[in-house]
Amino acid sequence: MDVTTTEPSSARKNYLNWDHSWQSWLFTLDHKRIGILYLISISAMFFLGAVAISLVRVELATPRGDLVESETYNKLFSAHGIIMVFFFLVPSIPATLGNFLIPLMIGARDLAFPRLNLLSWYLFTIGGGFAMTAFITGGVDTGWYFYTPYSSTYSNNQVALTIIGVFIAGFSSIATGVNFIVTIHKMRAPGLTWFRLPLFIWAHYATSVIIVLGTPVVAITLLLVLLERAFRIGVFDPALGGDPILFQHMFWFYSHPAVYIMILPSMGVISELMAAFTKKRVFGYSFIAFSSIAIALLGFLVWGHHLFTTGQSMYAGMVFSVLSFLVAVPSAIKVFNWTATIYKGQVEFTAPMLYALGFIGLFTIGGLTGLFLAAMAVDIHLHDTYFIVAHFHYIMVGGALFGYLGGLHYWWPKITGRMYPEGWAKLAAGITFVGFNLTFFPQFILGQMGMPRRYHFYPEEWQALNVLSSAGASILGLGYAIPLFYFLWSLRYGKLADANPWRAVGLEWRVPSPPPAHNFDEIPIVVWEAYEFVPEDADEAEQDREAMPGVPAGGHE
Amino acid sequence: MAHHAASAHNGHHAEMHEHHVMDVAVYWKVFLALMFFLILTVAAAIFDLQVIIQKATGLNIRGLNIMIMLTIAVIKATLVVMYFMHVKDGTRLTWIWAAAGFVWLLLMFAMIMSDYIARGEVEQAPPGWEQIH
Amino acid sequence: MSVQVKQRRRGHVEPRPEGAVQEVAHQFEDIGQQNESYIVGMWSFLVTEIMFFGGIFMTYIVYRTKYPQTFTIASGELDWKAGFLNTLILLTSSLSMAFAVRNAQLGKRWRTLLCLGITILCAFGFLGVKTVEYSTKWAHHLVPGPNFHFSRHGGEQAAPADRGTSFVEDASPETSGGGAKPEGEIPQHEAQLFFGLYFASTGLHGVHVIIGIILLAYWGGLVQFNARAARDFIPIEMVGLYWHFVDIVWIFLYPLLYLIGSPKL
Ligand SMILES: [Cu+2]
Repeated sequence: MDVTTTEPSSARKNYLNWDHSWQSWLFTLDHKRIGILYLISISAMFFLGAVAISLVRVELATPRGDLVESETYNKLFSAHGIIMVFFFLVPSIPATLGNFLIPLMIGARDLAFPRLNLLSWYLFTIGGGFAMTAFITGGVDTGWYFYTPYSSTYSNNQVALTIIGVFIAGFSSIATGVNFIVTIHKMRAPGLTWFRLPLFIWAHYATSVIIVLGTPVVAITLLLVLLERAFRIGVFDPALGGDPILFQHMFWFYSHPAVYIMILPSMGVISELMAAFTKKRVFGYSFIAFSSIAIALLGFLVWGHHLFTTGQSMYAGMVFSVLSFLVAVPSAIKVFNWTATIYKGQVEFTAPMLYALGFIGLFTIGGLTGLFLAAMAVDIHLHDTYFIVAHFHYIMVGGALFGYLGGLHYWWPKITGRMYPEGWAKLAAGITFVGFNLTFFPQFILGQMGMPRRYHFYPEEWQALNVLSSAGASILGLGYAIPLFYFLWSLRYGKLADANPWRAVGLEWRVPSPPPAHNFDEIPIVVWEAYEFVPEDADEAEQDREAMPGVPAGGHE
Repeated sequence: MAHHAASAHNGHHAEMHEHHVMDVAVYWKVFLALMFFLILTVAAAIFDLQVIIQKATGLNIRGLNIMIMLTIAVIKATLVVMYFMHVKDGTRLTWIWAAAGFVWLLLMFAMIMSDYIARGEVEQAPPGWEQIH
Repeated sequence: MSVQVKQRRRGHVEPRPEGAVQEVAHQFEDIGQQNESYIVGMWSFLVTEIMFFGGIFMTYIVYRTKYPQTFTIASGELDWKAGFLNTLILLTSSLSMAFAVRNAQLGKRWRTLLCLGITILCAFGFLGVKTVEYSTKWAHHLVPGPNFHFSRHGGEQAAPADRGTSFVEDASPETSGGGAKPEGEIPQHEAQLFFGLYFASTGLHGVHVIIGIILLAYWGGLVQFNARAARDFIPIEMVGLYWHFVDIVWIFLYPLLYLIGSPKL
């Protein structure tokens, strides 16, 4: 509060340059720095997961198993799944962008519990350490969902290490969720009512609710698997009177909603991007806001669609099938509203917007193919084929990851104070889009022809499509590598960004880039609605802007 | 520093400078009630009402004991939550979050058990669901 | 009801003006915001705890409905009197915890410490009883694993044939004729499941008690040695919420584990 921000922007103290010591990073309580720590950790995880799957795709280029043995192959796709789900996608947007932006967007100086926030990063790191140790010392071959009794009875002991890692990472996730819930409830700036909140915040609130309600269930389930390994109590082992389907019920009670943990924050990002690059208020604000909550709650009632081919009762299957169709409704509401936002807007095709448009298309494909799978009869045919693989990659990569990359580009100037090179970024967005579709569209066809997932050899006639897919994967890899280089490059050579390079609205754009350590010199009083681009308010908004010290005036269109 | 608009912080102003300190007597009464219910639980387990009723009337209410014991447990838990954990004097937000976990847990029980019941895995109807004779 | 309300009014002792003594962390604007944030934060954490233990209760429900006879008989091996004693101890500890919070609210430092001390003592008492129980189970080969072998040791042996297993009586034809199944008929793995769940749930609960002791001791130490910390009652209130939650878990575990086997006086 006592920091003045009247010096020239180059010399201005911000959260990055006020202290350069390593202690100031490792013991930081600043949500922005913790966001950066997370960004580094999950990027490392992402590239490790990508390496694992690259080997898988190379193996699948030929119908024979020539590169790796079955067991190694199993370990590779398991490592890919475990890393990408638990150590990349779940924390991806919330722990980086969410951590960084939530206090800035709601006009708070920090999250409610800064120490808890730091603890969550350490837990994440420790959990990651356990998982990595397991992969290095022998590898896990259970797949990312640890089905019993294979995981609890037959598989190697690295399963136990991995489960401990996932368990600890779960606590990190819970810490983030609790922090977000309290922050969003209690730390909003004066005047910032729920319906003036950016949709990014609504999405993160819904995500946090899922985290808090779901994560502990998977934690106890995995703990029971550990106990079963250690003491043979038999909860999930049919030979000992247990029921493996109970494991699947409890595992998917978390893990289906976990899909929404991954996709909801991404949807929040897309809402922000839509508003910023069409310079319009998001169409159907309250529909999008409530659909996030609806997804969070309805998403808990559909997990049984993962059990259609098990001994789950037919009646339960029918109920889960109907509910799975229902959960598509709130997702569709979002897509329609975003589309309506673009309509007659002045769309600026910046790199983040390209990712956002990619999201809408790919998420729609992913969502609609999800409806095929929600239909019980169709699922019997498609279950455990590449159709499933393609479907959830359209959601997880085409949806969650595209949103993450779009958001990262969009807020990069805010986070680092530097612009990324726009030309390269557009190129990377294009390459990613093409590579992604080339990788996964053939898998829809393969799956529909009956190619099962998780085998490293296949009949000759499927080779053409597999080669296409592998070729697409290399292009996709290029699309991921390019941003890594230009982001790092921009840290030093990027054009300096002003406070609001996109001429967007939102409290985070009213503080300097990068923001000062305490975020706001004075807590703003919010008297405007979300996404208020209305021209007649320009003067008033201008005055607000000028009233904020350290923000260059005249940025409003 | 900045004035908080009442609309943003749902009514935390009301609570801001007062704190509910409960009377000592309230805690003692709750404790005694918990003791009473504890003894009642054990009594219900020892004196098998199901058998007594069956002998007296021929009516066999399956799982009557466990139903009684669980009802008592719910009452005890409610007492602890309301008084010892101060939810009774809590804000609406506290109420919502205090209820959320229990509600969601019941939802999980119901959804998963409905599968087991539909599968016929449950050897007999769940306690108390049916009356025979 | 109206009496209750009156008493509550009378109970509203205005504590010392809080804003003056509790410190507001930099991210909060005022003490009201800070206090409620901590309470709501703690409750949303307890939601995760509820779902966490809920998973164990879920497995319990599934297997109890699947193997009702075995669970009834196996439960008879648990010492319900030890469980009763432990329930008594935990409820007492909850009372003293509630008083600790109350004294902290009123700024009565020594009384707070005293109450925290009693709570910790109770917690150790609880763990002591638990240890005795566990070692008995170990001696009776009731710990799941290679050594597991279910046979009867407890008071159940004296069970009259017409009682104690009434639950079982009409369940399936082969057990009719009343009374418990002879031990040879009880599938060992079903009994092992019961004891597996017993150890998993009470063990997890015990871990929570140990964590509780650490938290209580830590905050007790702070109240004792750090005048600044002693002024803020919210940490004690939060430890209290945690402790009462641990108590609630036991309130459900006790009847479900110890009392389904028709105990004898
Ligand atoms: Cu699903």
